[in-house]
Amino acid sequence: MDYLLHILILAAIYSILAVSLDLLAGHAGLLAVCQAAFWGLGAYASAVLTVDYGVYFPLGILAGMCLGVLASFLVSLPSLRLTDDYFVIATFGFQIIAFAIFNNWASLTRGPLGIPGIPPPTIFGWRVDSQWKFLLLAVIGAVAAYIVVNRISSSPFGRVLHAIREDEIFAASLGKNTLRFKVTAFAVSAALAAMAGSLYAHYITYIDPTNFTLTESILIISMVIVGGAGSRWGPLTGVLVLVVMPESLRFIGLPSAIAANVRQIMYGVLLVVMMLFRPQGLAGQYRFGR
Amino acid sequence: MLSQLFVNAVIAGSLYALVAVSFALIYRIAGFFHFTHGLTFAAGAYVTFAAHAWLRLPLVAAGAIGVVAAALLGMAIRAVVFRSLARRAAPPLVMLLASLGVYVVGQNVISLAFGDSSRPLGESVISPGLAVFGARVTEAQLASIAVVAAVLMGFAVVMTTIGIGHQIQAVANDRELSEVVGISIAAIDGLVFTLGSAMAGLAGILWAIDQNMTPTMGMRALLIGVVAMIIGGQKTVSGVVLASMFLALAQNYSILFVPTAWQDAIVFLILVAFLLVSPSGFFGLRGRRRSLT
Repeated sequence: MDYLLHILILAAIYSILAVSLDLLAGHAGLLAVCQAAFWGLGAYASAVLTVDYGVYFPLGILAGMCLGVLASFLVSLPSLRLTDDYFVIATFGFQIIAFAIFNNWASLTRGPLGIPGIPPPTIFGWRVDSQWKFLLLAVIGAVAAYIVVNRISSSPFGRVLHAIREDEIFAASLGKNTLRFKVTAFAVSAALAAMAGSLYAHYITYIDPTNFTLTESILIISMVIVGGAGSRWGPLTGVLVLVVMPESLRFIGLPSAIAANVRQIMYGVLLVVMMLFRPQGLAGQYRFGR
Repeated sequence: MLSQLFVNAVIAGSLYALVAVSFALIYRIAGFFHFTHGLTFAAGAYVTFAAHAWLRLPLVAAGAIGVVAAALLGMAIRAVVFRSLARRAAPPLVMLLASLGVYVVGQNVISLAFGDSSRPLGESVISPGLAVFGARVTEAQLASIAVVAAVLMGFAVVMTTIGIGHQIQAVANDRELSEVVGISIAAIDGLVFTLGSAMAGLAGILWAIDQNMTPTMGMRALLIGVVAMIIGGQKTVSGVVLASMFLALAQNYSILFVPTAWQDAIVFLILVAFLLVSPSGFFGLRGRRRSLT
């Protein structure tokens, strides 16, 4: 039971990440490879504030989200000058820089040693100290993220994002300041990912830089793409497939050292197969990158 | 100290240049960002390791096998994955994602076969090396620089003087028009994937001899190489080589001011600074390829 709850909690946290990336990749057509950087930023902000400064948990989450928004401007303003491949590379670069900061700014993040003993969250006197309670909290977070992204995508703002995705020059010719729309979408996406980071840190209670690497960013992208970018249920489908499927390896009884690699191989094969046979994803209609 | 850093930078820079030039060769023809380049890079080194340490072949023979293996791998990935995608007229971002998937599979296969730990390639003979302007250079490092210089010069000569080089340039500039004048696009595609992957494999082998190897080294080399390509502006070998040397010098001299762990971040900070100032490259004619559709 504990194990099942653990998987569900992780799935809920990954749903927040997938949905947040979908706002960029699916709705605005921006394939950002740095979602794990914002995830880590939220996790570290919340962990450092609650562990080192005894800050109240909701304020920790909020601080992480604000920091995520600020960092998103650092990422989006230079990289949004670029299109397609070069944009992907610029966001890759920010992922590498973020990892270097987590790993090397030892006086703040304790570097590779990581931050242990992150306390369970307390919200207005409600102490989230069991897995059931945490599942509730994580699901609330996931539903909130889902509602935010869905409301945005069906709003006039979202329609402009879709127009930018289909034809940016056309959207600009209608007098839309496309850069502003993309920067805003980036900021919302970063804030949601940072929220997922705080939840993750307080659930796992120990974080170190290896939680927030390029591999994780690629995993989040795979979830969105495999599920179906820009569709209502796509990202959640992707999370379900990519979180649950590898868990089956546990029951085959592979040693954990091999299982990690086999899991990655499954992600890679799935990505290639989807690109070959169903580029719009399992639950998607929009064909990515067209 | 300063001259030692300079020598280290020249060695690293020459390998960045080899990665960048070979990446650009495929990128300009195929028109999408192929992460598999990082895989052929690592595969070259690991096949060489297997041939040298397990089959006990001399390092040069093992290296030749590694280069051939990298070329075959690049050719096979193109034939199995990229060609089917191109037939479906997949847009560049779909190709990019597929290549990322192939890279992830390949890197983990290498991990499973060889383990994640850092391994040396070649004899660990501690050589005092030669003194050059107060810096120490080993014979292996000199050989590495000579090999890279020869390959890059040969490549530049082929691309600018010989018919096949002209054909590659033509396809890079305009696929449709090249087809109209009778160039076989499929043959050129196959050729650049084979040649580019062979060069990537060679770079991987030399990299592993110089600084050990890990299964993830391909991604790191690829990203630095791509930054060099962007700064150098894709089109000319000399531009890319200068950009590679610039990056390597910046990395090595940064040791004087910040810990070495920041080296990768520095490459990308340079890229960001650079993109803000001039998105089209120091030596570049244009910043990026427009997709055909």
